[in-house]
Amino acid sequence: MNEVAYYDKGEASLDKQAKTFQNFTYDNQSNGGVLNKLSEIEKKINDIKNDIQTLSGDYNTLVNKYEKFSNYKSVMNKIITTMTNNVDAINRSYGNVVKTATQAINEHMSTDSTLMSDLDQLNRLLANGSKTN
Amino acid sequence: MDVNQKEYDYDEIIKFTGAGGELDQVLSKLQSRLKKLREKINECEPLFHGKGNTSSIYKCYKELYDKIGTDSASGTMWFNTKNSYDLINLMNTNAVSDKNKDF
Repeated sequence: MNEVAYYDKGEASLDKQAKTFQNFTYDNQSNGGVLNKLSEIEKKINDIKNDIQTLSGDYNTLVNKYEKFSNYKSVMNKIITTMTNNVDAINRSYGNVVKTATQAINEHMSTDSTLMSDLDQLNRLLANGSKTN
Repeated sequence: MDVNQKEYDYDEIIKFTGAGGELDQVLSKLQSRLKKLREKINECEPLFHGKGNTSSIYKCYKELYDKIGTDSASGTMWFNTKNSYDLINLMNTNAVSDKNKDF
């Protein structure tokens, strides 16, 4: 079989594990801060949703144009359905990170009033997330 | 003309599924964004985390990484990206083969 499409074998096979830490941390100062990172994560999730839609559209183009390609239809549907379910699950987990951050800020606001503006931004991220779900 | 040639335009499919074609471009973008998403989660972890591996924050990050997954972990984003890559290559190979049969 010809291998014509691009494939990132290194990233595809990379073992992806959550890290463990010794203490709770909410760092809104360094490296762009938590809110900045959460916002970037949300953007990437939305980009991936759009890519899946484009891929689905391209598959449909082939199947609709040429009957021969209907043989591939069940495989195409399975790929798109599973990818869509995955990105929905990713979006829910991301929403849970934002909710957890919101709870953490609520708990710490009594001792650090500067976190009030973070709470506003987290609530905006949560609202955006629920719109895209 | 062979009956196969009437079924579809080989050259169109070879271009559509080949390197730099529409499907290659969208799959490349998807892979790049999956990598970026993993990197962003990676960068977020040191900034916001709980204690140990039983905290609710750790579980959220674990779910995110598990769903992105690897190409050998069934049902994950990368597993299906690999399936899509294999399918595109298969369609391209078949189109090249069908074209060669006719010439």
